Parts: sequence; structure tokens; C-alpha cells
Amino acid sequence: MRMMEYRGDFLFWALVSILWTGFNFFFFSLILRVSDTVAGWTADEMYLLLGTFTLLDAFTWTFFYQNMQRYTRHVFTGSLTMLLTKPISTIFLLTTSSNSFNNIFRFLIGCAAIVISLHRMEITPSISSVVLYFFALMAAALFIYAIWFMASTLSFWIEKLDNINEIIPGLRRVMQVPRGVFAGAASVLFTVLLPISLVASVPSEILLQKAETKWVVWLFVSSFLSLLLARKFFYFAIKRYSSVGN
Amino acid sequence: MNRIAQQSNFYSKVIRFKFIKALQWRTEMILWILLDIFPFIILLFIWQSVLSLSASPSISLPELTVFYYLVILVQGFTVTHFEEYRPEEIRMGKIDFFLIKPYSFIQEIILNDIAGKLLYILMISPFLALLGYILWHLGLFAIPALTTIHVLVFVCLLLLAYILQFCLSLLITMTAFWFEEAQGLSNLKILVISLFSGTLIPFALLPEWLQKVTNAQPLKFLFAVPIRLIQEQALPTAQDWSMLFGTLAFLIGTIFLLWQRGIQKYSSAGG
Repeated sequence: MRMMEYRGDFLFWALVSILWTGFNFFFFSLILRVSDTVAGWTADEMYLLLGTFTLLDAFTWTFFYQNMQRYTRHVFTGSLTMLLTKPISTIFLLTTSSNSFNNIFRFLIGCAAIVISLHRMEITPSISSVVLYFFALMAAALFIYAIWFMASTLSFWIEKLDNINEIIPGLRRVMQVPRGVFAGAASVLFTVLLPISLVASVPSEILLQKAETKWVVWLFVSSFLSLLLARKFFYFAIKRYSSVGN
Repeated sequence: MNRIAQQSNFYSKVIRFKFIKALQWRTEMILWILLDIFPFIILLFIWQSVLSLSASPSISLPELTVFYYLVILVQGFTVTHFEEYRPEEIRMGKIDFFLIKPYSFIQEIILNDIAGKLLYILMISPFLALLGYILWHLGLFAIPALTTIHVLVFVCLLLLAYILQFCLSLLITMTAFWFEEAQGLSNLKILVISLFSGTLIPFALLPEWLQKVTNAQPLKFLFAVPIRLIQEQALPTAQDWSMLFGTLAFLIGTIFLLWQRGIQKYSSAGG
């Protein structure tokens, strides 16, 4: 309803997000002109991966970005006190109070890219694969939510750092590529310690029927662990919070 | 002569003041620098995996590394983003102050941006030096031998690219007098520049149609021309220079026209 109040704004930003999505696909098509594969993934497999990434990105941009921005602003301005006194989970209140649906078309583009890629590769995923894919996507979204929330929670220590919420979006390039792109220490960092390269790769591998069990399990486990850690980190951080009466 | 000296003194004082003010955002600036550099490092990983599987790669990894390093360098020295927040000041009626003082809103934007850019350059330079050293240590970095002319022209192109970026940002800011989505245009600006200025991949790897489009318009001076100057020692032609200066003259003229029309239309409640 609120979105329809500003229709022009909605349509304009929707157009911008569609253009950025197209740009992203175009960029990878340029790379695929040089070689037929990226880390062993063919063009169609890459587009499926990009489709999955686009779904996740549209989702996180819709539900997380504004809330995380408000969260850090509450900490910086001291207005968090108001939320702490409410009879409801502060984390829930902080991270669910607003959203932006400008990215809905990106979501549709992501779906279309996945369907078209699967059709071109003549892959018909089984029901169990599709179900597992959606669970993996949810785990990936939760993982992004948790690490984003932890990054925002750093605002309790770092004063007036307005771009703190750009850290996780800044890692998006890692999510857009197959995990096989990273080798050596980078592989350990992005697949084990901070498994951000798994978030789009693993669900895509599930649809492509080439997922390795250990990575699927690690995606679910790391999402669960990071959620727990984010919660603990918030309650640790809140101890050093102070405000001046609002 | 005395007046010029007076004006220069005034501008240098304002820039010094703005520079000190910008220093309070140094942590934020360091984070921006890291966020600017990080995607290019990831791109190197992507290209490494692409080239390792390519039977006869048309470009080597060191060439790509130098290309992306130059993109970071040119970006750090020339890109400006004040159009992300300045339009809000016009739309919310917060520029009254500048309309009654002998210090215009445009002057404020120019001096503020110069001070911010100087600080950014000071802060990004050690990062660039360190990154260059690491890449060189890994055998991925080799700058071709350049003559003094090439270096001078490169510096000159950086300065002009900054002015071009600045004019584009100012043009978007000016549209805030009429258009509510001026801030959104900032996104479109980044998109169009990314696509048509030669930042995506080295010029030679672009499809033919995109090479033609890039060559035919002035956005190429933002990245493609300075980078090719270093990588291919390709000096801009007389035609290039006239395109660049013609574009700048056109943009500056349009900005002043929009400013004149804009302040006639401008209204605020209380300021």
C-alpha cells in the first residue's frame, strides 16, 4: 500500500534495478566470450547461478537493506532505547519493520533465468531437488541476514560509520561466481570460514544435480551457527549501548 | 592581480577548512576504499579461473591485472558521488543560505568535492602502493616503460576525467530543481559509465559493437582512454581532445543554464 502511494518512485527504482540485473548478466556474458566456462561451469550453468544469485539479492535487498540501515541509525542516534523498552524481541523489531519491493522485477528475472537455463540444458529437476533448492536458498538468505546483522552490530563500537551497511553488499561479487573460482587461502576463507561463496553456488549445484553433500550440509550448519552467533553478538553488544534520554 | 591572489587565498582557505572537516569521516573513507578495491580482487580470481581453462587465451593474467589496477587507480582519482546527497538539499529547500551569500551553492559543491577528493587520494595512495607491490611480488604486475609525455598526458587525462565526472554529477544535482528522482539518476549514471567507459573488461575484449559505441562518445575519457594510454601507449588524437573539450564546454554551459533556470523555480519554506 505504501509502495503504491509513490508509484513513480517505485517504477523508477524498479527500472534501475532491472537495468542493473541486465548489466550483471551482460558482464558475465562478456567474460564467457573469452572462455566457454568459468571454473568449469558452462554458460547456461553460469546463468542459472546468476539467476539464483539474483533471487537472493532481490530478496535480501527487499527485506534486509532498509532494516539494517535503520538499525545502525537507531544505534548512532540513541533511539534504540525506545525499541529496547517494547515488549517484543528487539532483534525482530529491528529487522522486520520495513521493506522495499522495488526489486520484485529482479526476482522475476532471476526466476526466468533459472527456468530458461534449465530448459536449455534439458534438465528437469526432481521434486526433491526443487524442495532442497528452496531450503538451501532459505539457509543462504538466513546466512546473509546473520552476517549482515553482525556487521551492523559493529555500529555499537564504531561511531558514525554510515557505510557499515555496505560491507555485505560489497561482498556480492563473491556470491555471483562458482565456489570453484577460489583457490588456496581464498577458498578456505570464502567456503569454510565465511562461506559466502556457497550461498548461490550450492543451491545452483542442487538444481544441476552436482551438489556435494558436505557443502550442502555446511551451508545449513553455517547458517544456523551464524544465526546463533549474531544473536549472541547482539546481546553482548547491547551491554555497551548508552543513549541520552532521546 | 591582487584580486586573483585574494580569491586564491580565499579558495585555499575554504578547501583547507573542508579538508579538515572531511577528516572526521576518515574511517568511513577507508571502508569505501576497501569496498572499491575488493570487487576487483575477486575479478582477478574469476579471470584466473577463466584463463586457466582457456586453450589459447587472448589476454594474459598480468595484462588483466594491470587493467583492473588502473581501473581502481583512475576510479580513486576521478570518481565523485555528491549527486547522491546534494539533490536532497535542493529538494528539501536547504540552499537558501547560499542564495544570500557571496559564496554560491555551486562553489560550495566544487570546493567541498576538491577537499574530499584530495583526502581520498591521500588515503587511497598507500593502499594502491601496497596492492601494486603485492601484485608485483606475485608476478602479476608489470607497467610498461612510459615516456615523460605519456605520464604527463595521463595526469592531464586524470584531471580532465575528474572534471567530466564532476560535471555529470553536477548536472544530475541540477535536475533536482525539476525532478524528484535526481538521486536515482546517480544509479543510472554509474550504470551507463560502467557500460560505456571501458571499465568492464579490457577494450580489446569488448564485442565490436561495444567498442564502436565506446569510441564514439566522450565517456571513454573516464576510463578507456587513460588506461589505454598506459597499457598500449596510445596517445589521444586531436579529434579525441576536441571531443573531450567540446563535451566539457557543453556540460558546463548546460549546468549554468540549468542553475539560472533552477534558482528562479526554487522555493523553500523558511529554509
